[in-house]
Amino acid sequence: MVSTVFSFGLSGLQGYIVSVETDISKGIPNFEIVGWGDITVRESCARVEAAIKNQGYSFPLGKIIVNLAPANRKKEGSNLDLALAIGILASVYNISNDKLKNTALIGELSLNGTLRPVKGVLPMVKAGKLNGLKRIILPKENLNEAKLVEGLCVIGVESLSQALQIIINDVSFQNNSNPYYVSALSKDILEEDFIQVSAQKEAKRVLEIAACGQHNLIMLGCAGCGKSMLAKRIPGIMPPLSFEEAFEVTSIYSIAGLINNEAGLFTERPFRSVHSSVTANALIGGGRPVIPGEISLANHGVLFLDEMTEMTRKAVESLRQPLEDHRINISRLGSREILPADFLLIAAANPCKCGKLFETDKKCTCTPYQIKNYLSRLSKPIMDRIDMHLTMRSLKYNEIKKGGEECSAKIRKRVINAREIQKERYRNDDIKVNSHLTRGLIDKYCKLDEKSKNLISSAVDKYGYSVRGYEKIIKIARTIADMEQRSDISVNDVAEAMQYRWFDNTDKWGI
Amino acid sequence: MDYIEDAAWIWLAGIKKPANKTVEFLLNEYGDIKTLWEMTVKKEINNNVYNNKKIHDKIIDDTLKENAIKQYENSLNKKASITHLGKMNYPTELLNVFDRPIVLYYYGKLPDENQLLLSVVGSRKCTSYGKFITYKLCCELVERGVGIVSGLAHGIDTYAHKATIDNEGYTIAVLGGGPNYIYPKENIALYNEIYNKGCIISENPPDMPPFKENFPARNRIISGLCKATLVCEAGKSSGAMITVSRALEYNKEIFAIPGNIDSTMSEGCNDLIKNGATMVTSSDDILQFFEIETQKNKVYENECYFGLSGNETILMNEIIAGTHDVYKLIEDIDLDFNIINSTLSILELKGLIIRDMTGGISIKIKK
Repeated sequence: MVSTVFSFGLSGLQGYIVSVETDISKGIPNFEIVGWGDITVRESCARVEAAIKNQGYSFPLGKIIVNLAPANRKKEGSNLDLALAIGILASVYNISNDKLKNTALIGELSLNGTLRPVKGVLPMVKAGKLNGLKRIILPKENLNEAKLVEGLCVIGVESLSQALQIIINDVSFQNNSNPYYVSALSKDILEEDFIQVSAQKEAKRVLEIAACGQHNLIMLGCAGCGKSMLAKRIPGIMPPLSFEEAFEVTSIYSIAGLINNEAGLFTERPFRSVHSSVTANALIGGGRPVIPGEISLANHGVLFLDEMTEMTRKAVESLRQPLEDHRINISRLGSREILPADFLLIAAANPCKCGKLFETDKKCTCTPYQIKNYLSRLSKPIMDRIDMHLTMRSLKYNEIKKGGEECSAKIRKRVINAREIQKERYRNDDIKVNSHLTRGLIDKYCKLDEKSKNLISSAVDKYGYSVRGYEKIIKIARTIADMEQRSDISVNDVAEAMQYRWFDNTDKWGI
Repeated sequence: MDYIEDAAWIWLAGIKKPANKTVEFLLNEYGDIKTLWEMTVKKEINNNVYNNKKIHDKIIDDTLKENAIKQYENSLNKKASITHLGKMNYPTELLNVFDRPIVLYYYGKLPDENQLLLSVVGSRKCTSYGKFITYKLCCELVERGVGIVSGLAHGIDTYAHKATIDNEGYTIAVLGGGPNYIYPKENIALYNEIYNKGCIISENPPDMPPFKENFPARNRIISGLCKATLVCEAGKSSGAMITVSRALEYNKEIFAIPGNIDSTMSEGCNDLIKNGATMVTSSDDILQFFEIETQKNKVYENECYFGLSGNETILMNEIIAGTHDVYKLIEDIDLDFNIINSTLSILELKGLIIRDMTGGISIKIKK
């Protein structure tokens, strides 16, 4: 008799149903899995056989063929173990397909038949719901994660026999209700709060603009001027994650196996701090099966590249496509996957070898040639895609601990207001923030008056901005106007925005 | 080996370095260079005349002569002109210097006898104050007919040359490498301008790359060419200070522009003033030295600042008053950061100021 049991496969962020068909016939004892499984799937023969025996059931003697359908998609990982075992037992014990047809099974087996947690449960359960499944049995450790999907019954079990009992007795529990979701930003003063940052007025202003319009930013300044400190505080002034965003973030972490089983949905915006030794693949993702890279883990959050000048060229340049498209195509032999990568890039770097180029009393000891060399490590294509360039100076003693700084919550309130305006304006379009504006949408939403047009055209002539640079100026000006809740962009907004793109003008590198 | 005057001087300059004493001696002994050349070719020279075996061997060595002729032909190919102690157009001011170069390669036009020349030296990494003041002073001096000599380096040198070119004055760039070796590369546009309108001078033959050890020698030519040297902005130990010490050896006048006492980039200048250099607070100080009638030059002040809005005037006044730094402006002026930033953009586009990435602001001088 052929039994059919359901489980899941993963492709990028999407799960899909895999039906596990088991046929046992007389012949020389053999156990074969067909249907394009990777090495982990093929190895599960041994785990399944041992687990069935050690749970006290008899393993059938005969020719066992398991087919994983659809056979044209590659299945990876150990999450099919439980389904394979139940498929064989259903065939042996003649469990009717009625009892199996609305159920899916996820889990890795140990040799004694207990279950181990697996990666990527959240997108799998979501796929189960979309495909109309009613009940999902999975390892107990993954239960919290699975409960985030509502309108579906998920059951956590510890062993193979428990899973079998549930199927035979057709046990059903209550469906998941709306998951409990509270923003982590409800505290008055965060651990990493802007109240702790003294002075640095200009940096704060620029960061606020960056948070409002999701404008990528590079900070240049000497060691100890507070680049990392400021970057860490950016998630705190960004608006809280919406439920959909939180779900997407949690799904990515689920695939990457980075989820904390106790906590449910991610409530904080991710902040991924990447060391300069990062490789291109670790940054954008890759491998077999595809593991999300740092840019996907930073989705809806902040990607912080410290010491960007020290990163390898390959790693930095690999950011070009995701910075434009807000997602990443990872093409490997046999698979093409698209992962989201909609992040706010915050980069930090020293302006020269000794780092002190911007300091007041010119303590910098580099020669002009060295400085030029050092800055040219920041390639033009990447700097073109980074909206704002901020130069920073370290604080003097009398500026430290001045007090009277704004707290993050206050700044966040303004950011949320600016974001609401953007959301309202783009409700019929496919974007949410100003930095995602396309050419057509710029013409539609960023109308400039005569004065601003004159200003920007003379600036383009004088400084040789690229078309992208020109668009970035308009986008930043749009954000500045939104922050002050004005519907029109004024000439001052454009003029201010131009100050944040000095890198376009190589004359300004002059020493 | 035929006698070619220029080649003979190249040969003579290459015999010993520094060459001046040897050259003087040899010329005294044999009357003129033609006789010397011909006698040495015929090997008719007596060992006892010059009581030095090494030099004697060298002056009768034919390969050195062949090299000199090659050198000469190469210069002709590169279209470089040659001047030497025997030529009338050798710069007179330089002639009076004890360690003057024997041969000079140049492009362009050598200075006339009456041309007033001032060497302008300073740091390569100058502040926005240094840039502004150099440009301003040079503009005013050039307008009154003073020629500017400098070294085509980054920083002060660049601004000194630029001011002269912008005002269609006469400028000389003295290079550390060959006269056709543009260093630093970024100044290629400036080099071409000077090539056409001024003069590019070097002691080294064309194609020779700039070696580190040639720069102090280059600096001696800069100070030697002029009656006076102006130090715009220099740290305590810098190339500019080498030029100054050579100028002092040659008995030239030293001018220095004072700077803030807490600025490391002005330490050298302030020290010079303390030790007796003439302090320069306006172009008049230098014009007086050149005995040019002074006339308070008001052209560059105030005139171009009409028609500014309220905030623009506030910022412009503050900048003119001496705050050449964005961060200081933010501290000093009671305006929001965003307003300051946008106003600076507008002032920059109006061509009144230049902001660099280090936060420095310099005032642009309108012609």
